Amino acid sequence: MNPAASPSPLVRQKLVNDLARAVLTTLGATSEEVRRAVRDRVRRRALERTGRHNGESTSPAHETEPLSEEMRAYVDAVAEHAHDVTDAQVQALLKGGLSEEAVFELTVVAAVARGIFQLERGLAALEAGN
Amino acid sequence: MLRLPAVVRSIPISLPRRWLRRLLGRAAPQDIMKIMRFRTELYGAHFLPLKREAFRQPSWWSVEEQELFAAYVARLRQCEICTVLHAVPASGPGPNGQDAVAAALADWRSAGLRPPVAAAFRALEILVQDTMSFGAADLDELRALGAPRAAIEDLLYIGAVMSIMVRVGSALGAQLDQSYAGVVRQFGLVTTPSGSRRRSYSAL
Repeated sequence: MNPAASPSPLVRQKLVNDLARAVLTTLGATSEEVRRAVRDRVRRRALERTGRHNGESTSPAHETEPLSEEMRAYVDAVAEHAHDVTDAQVQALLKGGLSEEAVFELTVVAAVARGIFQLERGLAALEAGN
Repeated sequence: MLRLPAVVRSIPISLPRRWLRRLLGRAAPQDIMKIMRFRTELYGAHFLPLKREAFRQPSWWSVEEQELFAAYVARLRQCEICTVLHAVPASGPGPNGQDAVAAALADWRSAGLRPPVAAAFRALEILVQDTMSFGAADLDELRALGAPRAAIEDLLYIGAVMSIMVRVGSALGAQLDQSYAGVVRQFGLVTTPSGSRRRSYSAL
């Protein structure tokens, strides 16, 4: 075990921000509006799961309007129980007119949004204990 | 097989592990590499630097402990490919490393882990499984055991990058390629094909 070394939280935070920006804004098969709706839905559902969202910043429900029912079901699955995603779910998205690139984009946006949400909760707990 | 043919084609041929090791500096399953190479400007090119930074050294945690945390998060999220990918380096060079890792992943409470590592497992379990309930009190044990703020930050970043990686891998159907069959056996992990594409480890 090494003695405590000073990490570089600013470097890490920049890398997190870079990843978040890339998955939201890199040109692709889905619009930035759709991807932001995915991100907002993932965050809102994570907050709502324990009913502790009062007072926390969430985006209004209308921002999820760009997402079809199949898209909502898929991004919920990726964020909440990705190991249960099935071939049929992915095929349904493709048959519904989404390209493979679009499905990939929905996947990474949902996963990154959920991962960053977890990081923020952890860092908030760390701050609260200091 | 990955669920998106376009991702499968991101590495045009099936590369032997030694070539992957040469490309990456370490062995990695084909499916993970294909995901990282597909639309890399959107995901892989930004995720991989963050992952490297999360597993930075020097750290209060050893390399093996960091990898063990990663394997545990993958285990919690039921991602077999990511569990094995990180269980291998977590076992370290010692003769008993594989057994120790398998025991920790099977039941960390009875695995005889170093107290700060056990406290980190406890914190990760709550953070990953019940994120919204996670609070300052869940880090008290780590602090009491002497873990500095930097060590806790390291743990949180490892938890986050793994939470991203396992979701992408699982959703896209990433699986271990055949070259990992021996590794799975070495860890006493038996994959059991089921009617679906999911598999389960008998030892996990």
